[in-house]
Amino acid sequence: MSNTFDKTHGKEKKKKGNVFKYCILIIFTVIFIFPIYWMIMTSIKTNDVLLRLPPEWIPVKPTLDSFVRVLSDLKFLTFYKNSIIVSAGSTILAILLAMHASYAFSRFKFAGSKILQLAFLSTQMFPQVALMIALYSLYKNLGLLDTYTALILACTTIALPLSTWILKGFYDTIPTSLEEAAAIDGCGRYMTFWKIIVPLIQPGILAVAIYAFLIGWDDFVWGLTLITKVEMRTLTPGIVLTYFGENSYDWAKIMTASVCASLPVLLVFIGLQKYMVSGLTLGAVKG
Amino acid sequence: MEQNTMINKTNMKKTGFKLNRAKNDRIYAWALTLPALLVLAVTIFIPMLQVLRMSMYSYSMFDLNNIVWNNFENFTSVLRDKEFIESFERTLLYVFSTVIISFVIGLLSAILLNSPIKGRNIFRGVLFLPWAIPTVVAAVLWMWLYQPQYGVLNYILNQLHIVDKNINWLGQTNTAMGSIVIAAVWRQMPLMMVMLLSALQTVPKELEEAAIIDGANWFQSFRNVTIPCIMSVIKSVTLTSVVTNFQMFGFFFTMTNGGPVNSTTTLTLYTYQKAFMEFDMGKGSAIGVIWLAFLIVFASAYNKILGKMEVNSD
Repeated sequence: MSNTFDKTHGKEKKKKGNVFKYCILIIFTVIFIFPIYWMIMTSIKTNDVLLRLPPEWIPVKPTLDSFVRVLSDLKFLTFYKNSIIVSAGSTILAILLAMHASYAFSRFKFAGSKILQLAFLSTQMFPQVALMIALYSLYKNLGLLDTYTALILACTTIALPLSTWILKGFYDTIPTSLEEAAAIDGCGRYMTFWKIIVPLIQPGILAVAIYAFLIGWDDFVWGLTLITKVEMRTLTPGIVLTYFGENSYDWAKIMTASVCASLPVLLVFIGLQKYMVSGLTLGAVKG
Repeated sequence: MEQNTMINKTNMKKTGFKLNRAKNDRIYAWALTLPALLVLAVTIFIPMLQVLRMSMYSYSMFDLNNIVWNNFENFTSVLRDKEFIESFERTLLYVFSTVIISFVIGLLSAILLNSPIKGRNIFRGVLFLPWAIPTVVAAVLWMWLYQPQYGVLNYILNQLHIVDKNINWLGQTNTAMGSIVIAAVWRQMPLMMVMLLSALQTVPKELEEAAIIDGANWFQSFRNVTIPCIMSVIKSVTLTSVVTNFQMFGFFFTMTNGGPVNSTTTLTLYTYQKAFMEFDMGKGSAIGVIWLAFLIVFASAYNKILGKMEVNSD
């Protein structure tokens, strides 16, 4: 008797606990998603609607006016193109470099490998603003200022530590017997790596690709300092310097530029998120 | 006897082969890491040595013919500079409040998402989204939410009677830093949450259950079983977050540019001003060196302290 009472009581308690959990999760989700919702809603309103209180929570007369204004601006499209080139370039470079380095870290315990790994990870600690003092004159002497190369190198460097770490985690899960078998079959070392091992860590490479692309897309410091020509500018400094400076009160336009700068990445991110999560789980947590 | 030498010979051959192989391995491993190392050398290690050298000299862009060793004057003048000390304190305030708040919210959401409830993948997916928004876009977006007259935040707070007049969040010395921290937490909590959730999923369920059976309540089991199991992840995500937030530039440059009255001038902005507005490269470099030294000391102490609480779940 008392047993059944306990059971139903326990169930009720559990139910109450679940309701509580849902409440907290829903509150968090609403708070965290609201700014994105508001950015999108602002972009489809006109400026005089924006200056009205109470705000229109759902736009009464949605309009694509601001999108026409932003996307017909050649400057904006140039920023966009530059950001795509820099992010894609640094993604490819980061993958290639991390793929090789992390393989060495996973497979070989060579003298200095510990220190080398530490050096890779510690690069995040080096203050970028201070490095810029030296990099600026170095790049100036090498003629790299106002080039994609400079930005690609900088963004690659930021993405490299975690990328190496993630991929090492993936290599660690592959048994060394695979390489040994390939060696017996007469497959060269580098060939084995490229033809047998690399295809097996594809999910890891995808995770690194998403991560490195987002890092490149997010960059602001380097785009601001290593680029002086407007036609070489990337999106983030573009929004702040060109849009923000000129149209401080044109919130519809600023939010539209923001939507354009983040929506494509956001959509790709939504589609590929599960690879990113599994990559981080396998690489960063177990590695 | 003969047999013995035979064995010896094959042994020798084997060790010889092994030595050769070890050497080969070493060369192969270095060759694999070399390209990445070269890039890091060009973008980080060589510039850092240069910064270290510059920090010892009087090095002003206005006076390039007069670069002289100045007996650590850059360091002594920086350390005596009240503005430097204040921006250092502000950086610590920003970094630690952002990391601690992100960690607490991130851990709480991760725990909730780790329990068997319906729709947890959807919740996780939606909560992860702000991380895909570029920092500068997040900064501009929050400026619009904080906008004093037409911003939605003031409107909501007014309606809820939490405030009775519009607040200029980013324009007042007492609210500016907090407002930036909130924007930073919004952008950074999601990654923290996903990493902690991944870690929680690796904790063996039997261990937690065993603790409950032994009479521990949920909180005790969490503190004594779960936390030690995920300590290594806690350690690395918080440390990474501390180190990267020290570098934070986008939010400050965009939202306040250090103002009002320097209340949000952090180390990055201060160094930027010294080096790129006042062109005092020596002083800028000295700040960079002090900053790096602080982070190295902090990271090793942090690793040591949290490392003691770590348990290998394998």
